[in-house]
Amino acid sequence: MPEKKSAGFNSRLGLMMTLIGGSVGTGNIWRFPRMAALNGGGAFVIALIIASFVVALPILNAEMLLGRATRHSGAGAFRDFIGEKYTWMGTFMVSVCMLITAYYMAILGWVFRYIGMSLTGSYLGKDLALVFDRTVNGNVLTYICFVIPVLVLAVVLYKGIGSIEKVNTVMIPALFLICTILAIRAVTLPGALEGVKYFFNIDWHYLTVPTTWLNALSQCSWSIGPGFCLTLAYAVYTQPKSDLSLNTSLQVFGNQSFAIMAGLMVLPAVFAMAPSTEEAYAACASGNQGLTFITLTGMFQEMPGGRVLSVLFFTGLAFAAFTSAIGMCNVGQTFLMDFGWSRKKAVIGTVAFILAVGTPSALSLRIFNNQDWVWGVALLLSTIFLGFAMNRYGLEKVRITFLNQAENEWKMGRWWNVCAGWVAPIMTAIMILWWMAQSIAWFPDDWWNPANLDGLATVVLQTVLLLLLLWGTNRKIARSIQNKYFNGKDFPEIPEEYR
Amino acid sequence: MSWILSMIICLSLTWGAAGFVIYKMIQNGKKNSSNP
Repeated sequence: MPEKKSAGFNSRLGLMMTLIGGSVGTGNIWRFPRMAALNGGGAFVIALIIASFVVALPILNAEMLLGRATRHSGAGAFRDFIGEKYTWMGTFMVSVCMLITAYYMAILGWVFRYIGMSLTGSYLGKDLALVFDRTVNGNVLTYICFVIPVLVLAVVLYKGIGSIEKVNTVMIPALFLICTILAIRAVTLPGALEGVKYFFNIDWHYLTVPTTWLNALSQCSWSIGPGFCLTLAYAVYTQPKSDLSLNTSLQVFGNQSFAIMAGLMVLPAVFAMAPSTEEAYAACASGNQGLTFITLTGMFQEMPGGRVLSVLFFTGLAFAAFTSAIGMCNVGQTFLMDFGWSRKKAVIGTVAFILAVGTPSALSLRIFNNQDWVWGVALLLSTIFLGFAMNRYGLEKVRITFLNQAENEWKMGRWWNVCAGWVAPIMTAIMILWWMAQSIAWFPDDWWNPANLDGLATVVLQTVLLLLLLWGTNRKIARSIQNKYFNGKDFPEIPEEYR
Repeated sequence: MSWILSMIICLSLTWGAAGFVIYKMIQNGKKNSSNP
């Protein structure tokens, strides 16, 4: 008799790789090294670790327990955990996650183009800023490179959680190997030691500067992903007795380990190749896209074996982006399956949404940047909603009932109540206000104008429109979600429909 | 503080911590292999 297919994760290794894959994304490779360089190197690493403990870890634990206790994606989880009238909070988390996925897939299109250009050497000797501009704006080939990974994603999702595990089990070790090779090459470049010193040197003064902490909190929110709903949706497929605290700790420390690796890959190379420390610093200040597609691409041209390194770098970036995208699409797919949709129908729905909403971003950098800005800030609200849900249910009740189960290696102390219920939401609210204040400072004359795609008003307008839509449809969504597994006592088994 | 000491602190807090968590997960998995 054939063995019955498991509903959830099949192996510990698969679960570990999937959680790391979901958490490690482009934010580790192209954002962390820049942020570390601009915010005191080792001091930023320390601030990030502290931010991870007070914001990411408690909120990821909240997500993990919500998904496992309710066996639903965001909307169903909030409905069953704190009541029908709060379903919109979970739907908001799912919606923002899917809106982010839609433009995030455009990055894969760019990266595949750069892998191709690195192989053929077609960008050699050209103005790299112009090459980037032509690649990301209205380019048919880039658009095809955006569509193909979306279709591959559909196949992975359709085959179920076992397939997601397999892809991550191959891609994450491969990413680790690629990062190791590139880091070794970077630190052995002549003059690279200056970059290593700059990266690790703990300048304690930076820990007294508020922006270091706000940047660390932002990095923690956008890279590790508390509030992304990704952990919540993966938790639906974890066994009732699997260790919750170890899973979330692995996400946090796995993410940071890859970030350090990326720092060793990028900063020594930038410092070795830049004519001066000031220019290296300027390269780091040139933004994620500028650093990756212009500065680093230019440096690869000048390095011995640069084309091979360039192919490796962009392949690593593709793996990081793809494994995160799988996790994000799983959020949408699980959400649709909560309405009783078959896996096939849910995958088609998820992919159709990504192709429809992601197309403008894949064809225009301005729209991509607008979406990145709007939904990056809106995402932060999810942490506040999760903190609210934990408070509403009762922090101590959650901790005793769901977090400190006998199977858990590490028991959560009362610090979790303080961090998940208060510190994380308050810090996140401060972070949102900081980003809003910054956007007013960037555009003092027209921050209020929604037509300014990088201003504050566009964020407020798009977020409020989404919220109005979700408030208007709250009851309909809450009542359309089928089944209720939450019992308030323990974690239910993985439901049949996810088999 | 020397940069080498700073590097040791940063690596211990990240790679060291990740290694420890993976070790614990493997140990935990051996005890309870049916619960990924």
